[in-house]
Amino acid sequence: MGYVPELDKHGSGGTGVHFELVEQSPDLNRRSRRDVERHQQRVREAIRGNLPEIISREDVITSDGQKLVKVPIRGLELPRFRFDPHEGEQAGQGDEGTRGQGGTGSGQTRPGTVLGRSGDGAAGSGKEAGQQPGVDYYEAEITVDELVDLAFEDLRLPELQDKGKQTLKAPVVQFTTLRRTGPQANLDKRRTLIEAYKRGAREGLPGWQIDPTQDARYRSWEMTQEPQRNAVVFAMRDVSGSMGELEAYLCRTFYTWMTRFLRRTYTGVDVVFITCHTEAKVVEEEEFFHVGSSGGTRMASAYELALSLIQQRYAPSDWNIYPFLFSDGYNWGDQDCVELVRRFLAVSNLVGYGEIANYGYWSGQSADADTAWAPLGRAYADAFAKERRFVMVRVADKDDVWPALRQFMGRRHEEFVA
Amino acid sequence: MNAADQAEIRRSIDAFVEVAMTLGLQPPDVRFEIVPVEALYELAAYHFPERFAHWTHGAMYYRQKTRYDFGLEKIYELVLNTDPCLAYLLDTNSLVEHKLVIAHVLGHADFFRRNVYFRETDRHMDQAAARHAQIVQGFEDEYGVERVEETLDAALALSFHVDPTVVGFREKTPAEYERERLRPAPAPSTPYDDLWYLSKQPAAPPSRPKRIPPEPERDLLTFLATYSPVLEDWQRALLYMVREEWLYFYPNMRTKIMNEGYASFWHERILENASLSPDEHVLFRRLHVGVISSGQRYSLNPYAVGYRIWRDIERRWEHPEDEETWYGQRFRREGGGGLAKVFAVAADHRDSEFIREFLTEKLVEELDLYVYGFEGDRKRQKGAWTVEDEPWERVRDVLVDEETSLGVPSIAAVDGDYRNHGELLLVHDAASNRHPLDQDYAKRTLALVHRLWGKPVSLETVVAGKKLAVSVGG
Repeated sequence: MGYVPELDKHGSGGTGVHFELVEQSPDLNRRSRRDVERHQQRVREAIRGNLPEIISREDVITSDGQKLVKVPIRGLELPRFRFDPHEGEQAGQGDEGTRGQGGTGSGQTRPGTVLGRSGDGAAGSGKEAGQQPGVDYYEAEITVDELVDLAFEDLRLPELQDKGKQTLKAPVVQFTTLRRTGPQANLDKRRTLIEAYKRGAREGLPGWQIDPTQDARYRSWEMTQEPQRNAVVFAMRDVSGSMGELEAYLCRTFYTWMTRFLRRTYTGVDVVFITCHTEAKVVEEEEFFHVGSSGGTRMASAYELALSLIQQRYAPSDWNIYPFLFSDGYNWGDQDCVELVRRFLAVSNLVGYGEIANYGYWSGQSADADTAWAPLGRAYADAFAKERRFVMVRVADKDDVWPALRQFMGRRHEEFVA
Repeated sequence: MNAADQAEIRRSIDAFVEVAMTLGLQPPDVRFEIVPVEALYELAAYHFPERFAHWTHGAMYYRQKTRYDFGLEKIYELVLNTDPCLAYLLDTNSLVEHKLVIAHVLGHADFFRRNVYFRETDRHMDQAAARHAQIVQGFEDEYGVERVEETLDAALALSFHVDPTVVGFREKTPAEYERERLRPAPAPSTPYDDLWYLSKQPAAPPSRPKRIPPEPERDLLTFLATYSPVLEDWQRALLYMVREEWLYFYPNMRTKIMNEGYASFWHERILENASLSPDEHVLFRRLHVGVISSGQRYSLNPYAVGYRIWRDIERRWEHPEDEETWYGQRFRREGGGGLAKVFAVAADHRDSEFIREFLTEKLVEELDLYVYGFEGDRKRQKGAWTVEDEPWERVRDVLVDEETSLGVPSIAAVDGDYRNHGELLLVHDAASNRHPLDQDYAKRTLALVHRLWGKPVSLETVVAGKKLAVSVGG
């Protein structure tokens, strides 16, 4: 009676179940290493692709140095033809979390139970977001330092000159010469091949015959002293009453990344933080980013303070000077500022002006608000239209910070070089 | 692991095999290996002891290993359908965990040999995979890691697109298609001609124009490897290798719920009949409940669903007097056929059929299965995944649908000379799929197809009743 299964017998006939105990020790040279590394490299590429979004994330701005930040990235998995996960019904099975909802207390998940949410900010915790159907979500962990490297690897402080020769000199290793002996890691394969080829030609040998004792060439280095490049950045910021929360945040984002960039790229960089409403004052970095808004606006006082500092401490012959001002562009005495910027241009490498565009605040001329500068910006635009060492950028929301940074740090430099 | 534990495990294997055979299982040879965490997670990511290098394996390893390191998830065991079956046990398992896992493996091994969908499986795929790994490495040396990766990316993206209906059947070769084209079968003048062979040979109808492919081809990897005008031979070889390995995985995907449920059903049964100490029994019960308890919210727990269905099948065929048909009559089948039915179903079902036939209203309730959908702004993917109020039949049908398509849209290569320009036309058979295509993913995948085809590639689908075409490379 019953069903007698006909088993598909492969290989050995009888059921002799073998048990083999292999005690493997964790191998340091696991084959997965290369593939894991390649995966990490792709993560890095994806981070680079998402930089404009990532750099204005609040947790990224407020963390520092070696601290790990979590960065969400999408588009990392291999694409495939698939159904739209947001259309139609799918089957699921309740867990502890879903049964609790609706207060039934029974073992059933009730209709209407929300399994999870997605969208801006809703997919807060990575675990939750990663579970949802069809979400190609990867939370990469990266330190702020690494992020800075990724963000700025192709940027340089513009128009840097070798000033300040009398100041500290830094030892620099440079590969300059070739030797016949050396560590294998420094083998110059190209030169070795050329030497082998030349020797072959000399001795009338056909083809390539490399004799390591005769042909090997190793790169060798010299220690040289390079003058340390000095630069001072005047980070000036409008903290008047017209600067709202968003403006402060944008300004903060910008300067945070600028200082990170400078500190990481050049050792000899001074950053002077100046806040200004009607009175300008030099403040600590910490304070610069945290002051609240108050009072009226007279940006000329910030410029005046910076200029007096240049006279006292930062002689233009020794220092590369970069004044940057961030303001919403509503200011008393625009022409004063224009004159002061002229004085700056005489002593600075580059003068920057960043305008925080706040369309809602100034509703009167909304028609062309997208393109129009605020009064201070307009005064600058008129006065310095042809001055290539004066850079103006507009920042309206988080996404503009990244292009603005690149405009200050990157594009100008190329123009100067060309 | 100390010698006493080793001896104990060895004893358990012998004892469990004994019990399993008495219960009617016929597992083939199994080679057990105890491996450290890194090795087990590598196996889980690569699926074979040796497999070609690709970053997707690295990503999988990294994700699973990280989850293990954080204590979120643990893989106890891994078993391959090879000859002999290769079973890998995690060396940090406790003794009871080892025992449960060994019994579980015996269930899997029996299922591999019993189920018809594994009949065509190449049981030496581990060796084939190792060979492929060497070949791929050779290609990397010769053509560069980057070019190999580019080709593999595209091949793996399409790996699901083998025509499932031809698995196990030999496909026609282009030459055979060509013969058919030149000498088509005579058309019958009545439906019964072919039965009686009475009619004279009618004049040959005009032969069909030559087409590439001769018939719509759902096996995209084979199609591209055969007809792509730009691929080099080594790239075609890569496509065939990916396809061959995928054919090994396909039956596993089609029987996941049955297979995991079957193994859970049997590990319980075997351990119940093995002489465990009372302490061990408590530990084993606790583990067992952990395996078969909860769902995964957005998807189901194949162990839990499969296990409950198998138990239900056994009960209903062992004691048919306990239940009535929906029209209130007694079942006519005799009792006492529980395990025989289990073996019979294990032999010739796959998940979609298993669910359609044996998932009952009571089971849907007990397992807390439901259907859910996305409510909110679909374009911006902002909203909530919400459980819907649907009758249990709907839950079953959605599940059957998912297990039938396996999440892979039916897409066929239809015209390799599209627009008379050597372009490629793919067509999505929207009528046979309940869900529309994910257009963003389709576009990105199409870019990879374009990489393999060289000329512009188009995909036709139907969205909300309207024909829609996506093109890349035009």
